Amino acid sequence: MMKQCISLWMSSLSFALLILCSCEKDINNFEDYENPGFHLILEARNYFEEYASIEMEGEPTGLHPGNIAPEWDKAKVFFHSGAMAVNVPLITEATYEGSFYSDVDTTSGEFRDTYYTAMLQKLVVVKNQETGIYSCYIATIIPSEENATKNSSKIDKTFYGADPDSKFCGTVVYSTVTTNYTISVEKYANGKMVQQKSLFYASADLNEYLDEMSQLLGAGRIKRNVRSMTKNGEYGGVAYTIVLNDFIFTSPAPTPPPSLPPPNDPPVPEYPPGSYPPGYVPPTPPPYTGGGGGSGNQQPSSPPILSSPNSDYDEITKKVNEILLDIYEKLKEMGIDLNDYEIEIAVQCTSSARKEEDGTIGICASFVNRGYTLNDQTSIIWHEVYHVNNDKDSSLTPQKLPSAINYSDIPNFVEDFYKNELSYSDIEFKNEMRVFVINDPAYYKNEISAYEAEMNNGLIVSSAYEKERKSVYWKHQQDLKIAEQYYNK
Amino acid sequence: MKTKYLLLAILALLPAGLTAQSDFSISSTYLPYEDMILLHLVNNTDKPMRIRNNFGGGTSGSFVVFLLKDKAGEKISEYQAVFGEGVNYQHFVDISPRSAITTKYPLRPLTPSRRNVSEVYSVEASCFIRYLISGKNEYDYFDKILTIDTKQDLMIDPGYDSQAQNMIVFIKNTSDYEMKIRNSGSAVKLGLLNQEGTKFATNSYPFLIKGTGATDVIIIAPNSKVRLDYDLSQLSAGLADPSQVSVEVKFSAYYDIPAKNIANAFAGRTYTFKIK
Repeated sequence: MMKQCISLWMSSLSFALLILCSCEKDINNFEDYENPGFHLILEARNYFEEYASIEMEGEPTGLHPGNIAPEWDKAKVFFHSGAMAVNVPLITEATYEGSFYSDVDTTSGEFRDTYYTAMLQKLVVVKNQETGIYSCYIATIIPSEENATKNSSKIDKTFYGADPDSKFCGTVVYSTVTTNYTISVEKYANGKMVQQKSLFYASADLNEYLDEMSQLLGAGRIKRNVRSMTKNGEYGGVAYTIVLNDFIFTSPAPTPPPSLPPPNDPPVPEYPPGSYPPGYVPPTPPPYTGGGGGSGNQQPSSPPILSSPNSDYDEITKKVNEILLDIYEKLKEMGIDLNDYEIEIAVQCTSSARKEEDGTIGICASFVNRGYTLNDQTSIIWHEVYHVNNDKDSSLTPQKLPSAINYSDIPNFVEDFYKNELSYSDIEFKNEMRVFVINDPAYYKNEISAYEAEMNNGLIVSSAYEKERKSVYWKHQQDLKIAEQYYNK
Repeated sequence: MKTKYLLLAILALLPAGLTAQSDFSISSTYLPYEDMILLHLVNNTDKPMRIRNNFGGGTSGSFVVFLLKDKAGEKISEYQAVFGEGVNYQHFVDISPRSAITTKYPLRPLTPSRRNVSEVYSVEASCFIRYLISGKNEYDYFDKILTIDTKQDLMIDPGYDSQAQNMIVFIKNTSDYEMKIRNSGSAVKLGLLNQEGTKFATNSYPFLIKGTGATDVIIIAPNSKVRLDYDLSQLSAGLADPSQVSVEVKFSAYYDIPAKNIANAFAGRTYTFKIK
């Protein structure tokens, strides 16, 4: 059985000679000394060694690497989104391999085919450059099916935490080093993070969230190979193998473990409800890697990249993501940073974009399918941003009118828009100009304000979109008059 | 006397109302394993029917407002949507005579991004429909509120590890009360399908809990799950080319939740995988 006492500093002593030799060589190497990354690695190492001297007792669970020896001389430094990450190869007592479901429907949790691969664990020390706070993680790297290998050393160069040019395909699990708590599961496709479950964005139900993390990982059968230690303190062949029948992620015990890394009194970040209480979670999240990402984890310096709600919406999502950079740049010139807003793909919308009740901006199929110009699309998002910043509370559930009401004094431009742009027949147009139910007046006031502001935002939009928004604006004005007369009366 | 006249008036109006509403009907289905709401719009007439969708928000045309509710029945959020097959907006949705169309609404995007889908216990769908029957000059109006239960007490989550040729099934009790599964009626039925989808062999198993085997009653604690394991390594024996064979598994579970007065309720799921 693997030793119950997981003592990281002991492992450091076991490898002391090897590591000291490496360090000595590094320090005497002028080229390395001149490299600014060298100082950063030393800083990270100092932090880690202080942190890792906390002795932890307990039965190893999940993907625990057992005793570890970081190979600091092979460390690599990357910067991304305000964080620095030092990636350090590890010599580990335990190594892992296993089968993974190559096609997992994360919505239904339904597993399909599996593939088999070795996994690799490395140490990632991350520093928030703004606060200067360090945290460290064990990153377990699981290649995708196309890159599956029995040789874990082949995985080493495929993934570095915070590598902005990453091309990695597969899954990365970040866990705390001493306590082995699973913090984040990230799925990557060609270097872009396509799915993420992170305790930094956890839902109210922590256990359920851990289940979701487990589903995202899609592990079948995991094997832990524990290596024997030779007399000179090096790991030899596999001493024994354990099959993790019930592979689960590990979460904190009800009683708090010893306090986590220095600084001993870190600023307490705001955690969403249900996430680990402050002190259980490292103060700095795992580093952002690659060029993509899901909602809630955007980089501050690039546009958000949206994820598809399900496979039916993949094509629309792709089209939206393709134009989002241009819209982001245009809005930035207008003083709006899209990263300040939650954005997602919305379904079965009545319009091309919408502001959801919680302030999320929903982008709809029509946004990319109605032939809008870039300026039209930018203006549409500008309109939604206006809603987010200015809307008063209103309800979407309409009330029935005593009898249907026809609009009166319909301007020619409205008739022209519906009949010529939307190809409504006379019957359809006549019926479109009639309402049976009405919304809260606040709803129409919000729309009217947003359209009035949008029409003065300085963007030159297409004549087709100009006609559309003028007509819809006019309709909202008529509806407001009706709503003020009948709603809640 | 007043009541008598009122009843007479209602009876007089009833056939007219029924006639008007019978042209069109709407119903819902919830797919718990896909977190998907389906709304089925049915044209009950012998003529083509056209649904005119809402355009640009507001209340003209047809639309549905989903009111998402939590466990306590409190509002989580509202979401306005239109109808149509596929994912692209359609101004008009045509339904052939005596036919239906189904609109899919994945629950995730209907739910606020900071809330979990599992927090949604029910959805009230207020449907407002404007439809035109071919040959008529006026759109008709129809409204209906559908209540959709999005929680299923028993969830079946199967998975197949082709490496180990092992099927793992999690039976989850998502309720807050103890659940008893009747193993006598519950079953896992396997069918082997050839490339054409024709079933050529079947097998049946009870619910087998890893380590304890089959018991008459499987008790699952509130909000817990049990794991069933099936070694399927023998399935491919005798098959010329196992990679061409699919396995269709039909799970049937009968369960009781005494604290909720639920007796002999049924939950089922069909799951298909390739042997290799």
